Amino acid sequence: MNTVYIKLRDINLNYPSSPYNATTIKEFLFNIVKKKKNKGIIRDVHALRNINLTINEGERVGIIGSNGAGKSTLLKLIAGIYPPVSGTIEIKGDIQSLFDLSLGFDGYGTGRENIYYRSYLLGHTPKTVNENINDIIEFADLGEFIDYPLRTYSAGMQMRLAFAVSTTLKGDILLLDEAIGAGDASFMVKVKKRILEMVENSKIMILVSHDMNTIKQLCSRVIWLKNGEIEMDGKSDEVVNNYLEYVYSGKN
Amino acid sequence: MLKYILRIYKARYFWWSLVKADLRNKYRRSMLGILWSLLYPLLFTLLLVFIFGNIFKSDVTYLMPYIYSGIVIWDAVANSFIVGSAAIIASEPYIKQFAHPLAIYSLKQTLVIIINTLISGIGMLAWCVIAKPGNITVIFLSLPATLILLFLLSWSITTISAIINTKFRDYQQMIGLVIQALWFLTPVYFEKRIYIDAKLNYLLDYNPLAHLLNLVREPFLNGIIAPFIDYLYVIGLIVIFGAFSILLIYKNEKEMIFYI
Repeated sequence: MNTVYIKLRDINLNYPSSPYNATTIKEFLFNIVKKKKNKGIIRDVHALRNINLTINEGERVGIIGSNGAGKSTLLKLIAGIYPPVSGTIEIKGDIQSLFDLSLGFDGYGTGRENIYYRSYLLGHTPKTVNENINDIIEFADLGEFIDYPLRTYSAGMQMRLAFAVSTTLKGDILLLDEAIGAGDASFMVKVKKRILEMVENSKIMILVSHDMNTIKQLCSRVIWLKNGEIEMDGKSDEVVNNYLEYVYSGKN
Repeated sequence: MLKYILRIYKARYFWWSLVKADLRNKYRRSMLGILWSLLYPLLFTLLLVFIFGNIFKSDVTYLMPYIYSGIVIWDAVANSFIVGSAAIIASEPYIKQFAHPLAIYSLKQTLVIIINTLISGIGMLAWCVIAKPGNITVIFLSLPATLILLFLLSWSITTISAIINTKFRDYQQMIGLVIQALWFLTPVYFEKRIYIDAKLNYLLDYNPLAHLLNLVREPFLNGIIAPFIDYLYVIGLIVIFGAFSILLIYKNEKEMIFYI
């Protein structure tokens, strides 16, 4: 049985302070001369606290919360980028993440070449890229510019190419971090459709977003993170409504 | 560890395209482009031969390939330490988005160095074909092993340098000085007889880098495979650096992201 799942047990994650508290020789001597102690010591940031979470195959989960709540941190923990300081992670399935759309792009390369560079970053092989390349070029709709260097593109054009490549992602577990950005209206219609297809084809999808409409549309389950802890975990309508109530009451 | 190597292999299209991008961008908009990797050591050699040839009254036909081989190999080692230091820092955007094994970034730097070494090495081969065609067979026999050893040495050095420098940024400066000091203690440009005359034989005997240079110089200059002692020293160096790099990866890989 090849079921795909994510299990987090008692996860705690810190952003360590040591990289920031390290003194340079200059500061060290300065402190001695001025007889000053190290002021403003930065402490470890306890970014995720006692996270217990199980996500099973077929679930589409949204993660919401205010800025700094730990949403992106949680996503990156699942992606294997950040290590927990305690707790266990058990993940079964290939992870594909979409955090930065244009990562892997080389400004001096052509659009066509960049399709390859970014695709390799996303884990494609030359064979799988060649299978998709015509589809990608058509989707990006850049005409002859596909063979021009990326540096000649406008921001919107780069965005279109980035999307076209990124939406060929195939994975068991799809992690999306507010990747659904802005583009021109007609293109966004195409993109939304593509993303829906991607989501349909994945076995687990986790989306971090501030856009409640997208969250409600794409996710059946929503987790509300507050100060690194799970404040609420349940049906999307319920959690989103509770969250919005909290946010608006806070403003009064 | 096998699992780690497998993960590196799985990411091969990714790091190989990083290598290609690096090589492309190094000579962007220059007319001679990658030819500089060949031209620079060649012209530098001619300069040194002219100067040293006059100061030390050396045999120019011997000095040229001697210095050239010194430059090519020394550059590979020095760059592994100095440029290798930046390997992880320079790959920050990738590390923050993908959980690839960290060693692929030092691997990428090593491959760029090795490829540049190979291009520079074309000059040595050309000289050999012209001046000492009899040595060609021995050269081709010894070349694969020499390249593999150089590759392994470079990868362990770039890995060590990248990890240490990410946590302690002073490393790059300090190692630059150490390399410069080592240069004086290694027969890179100065002929061996100068060390022998100065009663500094032990530098030739116990300096592993001197042995590394022999692996290239013996086939090219003398048409023989370097004696086993040379291979032994180099392999010993690789074992030490290799073990240290594996230890550093094992202990530091997960936390590296917080120091970039």
